[in-house]
Amino acid sequence: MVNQDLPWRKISKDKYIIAGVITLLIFSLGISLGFIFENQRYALLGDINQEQEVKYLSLQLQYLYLNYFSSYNNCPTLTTTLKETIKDLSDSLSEVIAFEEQNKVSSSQHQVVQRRYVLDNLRYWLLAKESKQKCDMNIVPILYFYTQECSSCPNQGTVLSYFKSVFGEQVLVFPINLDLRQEEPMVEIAISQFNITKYPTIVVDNTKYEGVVKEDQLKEIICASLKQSPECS
Amino acid sequence: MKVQRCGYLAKIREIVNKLSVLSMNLFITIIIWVAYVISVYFSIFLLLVYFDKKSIFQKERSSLNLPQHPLVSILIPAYNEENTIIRTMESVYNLEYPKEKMEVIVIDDGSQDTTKQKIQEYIKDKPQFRLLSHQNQGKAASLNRALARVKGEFFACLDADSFVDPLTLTKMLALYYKENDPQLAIITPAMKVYQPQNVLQKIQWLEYLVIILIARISSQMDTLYVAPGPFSLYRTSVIRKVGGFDEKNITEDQEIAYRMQKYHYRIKHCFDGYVYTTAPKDLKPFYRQRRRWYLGSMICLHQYKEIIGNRHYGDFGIIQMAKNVMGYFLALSGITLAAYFLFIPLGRWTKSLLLLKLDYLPLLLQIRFRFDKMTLLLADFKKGYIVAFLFLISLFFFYKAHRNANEKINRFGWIPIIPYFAFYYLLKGIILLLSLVEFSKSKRIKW
Repeated sequence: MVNQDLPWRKISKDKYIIAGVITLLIFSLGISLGFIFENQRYALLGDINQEQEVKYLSLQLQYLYLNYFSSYNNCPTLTTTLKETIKDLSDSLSEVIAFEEQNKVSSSQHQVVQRRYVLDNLRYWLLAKESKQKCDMNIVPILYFYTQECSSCPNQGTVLSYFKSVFGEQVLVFPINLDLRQEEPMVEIAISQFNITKYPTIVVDNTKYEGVVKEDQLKEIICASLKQSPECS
Repeated sequence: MKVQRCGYLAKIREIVNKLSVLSMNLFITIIIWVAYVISVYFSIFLLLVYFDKKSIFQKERSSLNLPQHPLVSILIPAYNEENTIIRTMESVYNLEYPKEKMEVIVIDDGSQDTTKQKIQEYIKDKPQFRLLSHQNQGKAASLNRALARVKGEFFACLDADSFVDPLTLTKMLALYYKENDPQLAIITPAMKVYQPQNVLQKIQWLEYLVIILIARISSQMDTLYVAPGPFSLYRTSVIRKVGGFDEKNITEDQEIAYRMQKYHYRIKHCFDGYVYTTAPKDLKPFYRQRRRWYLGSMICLHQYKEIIGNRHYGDFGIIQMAKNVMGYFLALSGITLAAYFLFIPLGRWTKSLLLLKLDYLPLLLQIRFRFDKMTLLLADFKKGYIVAFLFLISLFFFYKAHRNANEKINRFGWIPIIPYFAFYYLLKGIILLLSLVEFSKSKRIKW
């Protein structure tokens, strides 16, 4: 039944090859454009970081000055600058960091960006804590430890952003990515200081809360730390 | 001591956790890129064929001039089709073809409703119509029984839920005479959805139009692998020679096409020979129809697996069969990716909202739409670029499919286009997955 006289049918070999070449071209174009974009991103990040650096220096100096001369009438300026700078840090970099965490590329630039962000958060947290004492600021600095792999961390993250939205600039959240412990000694120091074994963990006023802290519990914690707030009554 | 052990356990758990997440990410990344490469390659290939024969696609129309009028038999198998059978017979009666050169065999496959009476009533005064009635045996068996009685040089089958355009038969026969090739054994029609009412039918309307274009492109390469039930025109001698329709197969229209390809017969597509078919209106019959198609195509692919990658079969063996096999991979990876990127975040959001006692307003207030250089740079470019590219190609074919079928894109409004592009393929993918599970189960029983 089979037509033995017609054994070979037409193969559009040229089209297979051209299609392959075009596919290759499209992918290589995409990947090289991707690299250009990546470099652009890091360049832009450098600019942002430089701006942050100046702001931090200014803050640090304000604090030193205030400490040295015990001139507490400078407190309002420090308070506003601190809140603004921290908000700015979170606004300009949290998306970038989320992006970097998702797209795990083990380039050195990538690691530097993440370490830098953790360090920024730790030093602002310290500054916020000290300023709170010195200037009697009505703020709650929250240290938030998480890892990329932990499945309930995004939930804690959402709960924290919820309170950031409800309390505005009174709640300051400092996220610390524990995955960086190998690369950044400062993270290891923070971990051992609070003896972090579980995640997510949040630290408020030197007290550690392990596991996902729910809405009502977190509200209590925040309200206990704040002197007064319309949301707490 | 105990504390120590707990520490170790926690550490081990942490490592296992980390590894599983890492391997999951790696798995997903590999799937994404493999699926991308495959889709881009096949789309480009299709585009190449299209542009190679561009003038044909843009200018060629079917001829209506026949050098002679051969006897044509038309088989209408019907099983419980009392609502549509009259209209189907009417459409055959209205074919622009000499009545004395036509033989219509209506087969009542043991219907339990009034189908038989309706047929008898209708064909009373029409000598070219005949009724064949027997116990329920299935469509393929009905066709084979009728095939034994067919006198025509060519014969067509018309499902009783479909209606043929008056000019289609002439156009198809003209194609037979134009090709003038005794190896040409089947001419397939251009199927359109009959009067789509609801969104599901309108989506299928769009889908069928694209299928017409793809079939026309495949026809240029001689790689058609389905001879749709509604009004495919067969060369009687060839179908008899290969033993008629496979009565065991659930999609005999695919099986016969594969068999033709196996024996190096040719199948051509008549892109403007229209047949209107009733598309399922509800999800459940839609599911049943697709499950039958997909299950059938898996069985056919398995049955004719020796053709896959076989160079004797030219483009059919290499590109078409590869495409059919890869189709399953793409559908499965599509579902996996959808689950990973849609359902997992969705679950996470639900959990977060429950933690917040559904007080979502503060979260919404926090969302700020920022658009600056950084937002642009943060877009996942490498993946977005490919997705955009594939989307553009599918838009191109979507547009060309409408031009090809002489229809306006917004004939049924713009609304069906959104679900067509957004989640219709996901729905089909899910049905395919379920069919695949069923297929592997049935195989396990057999082996």
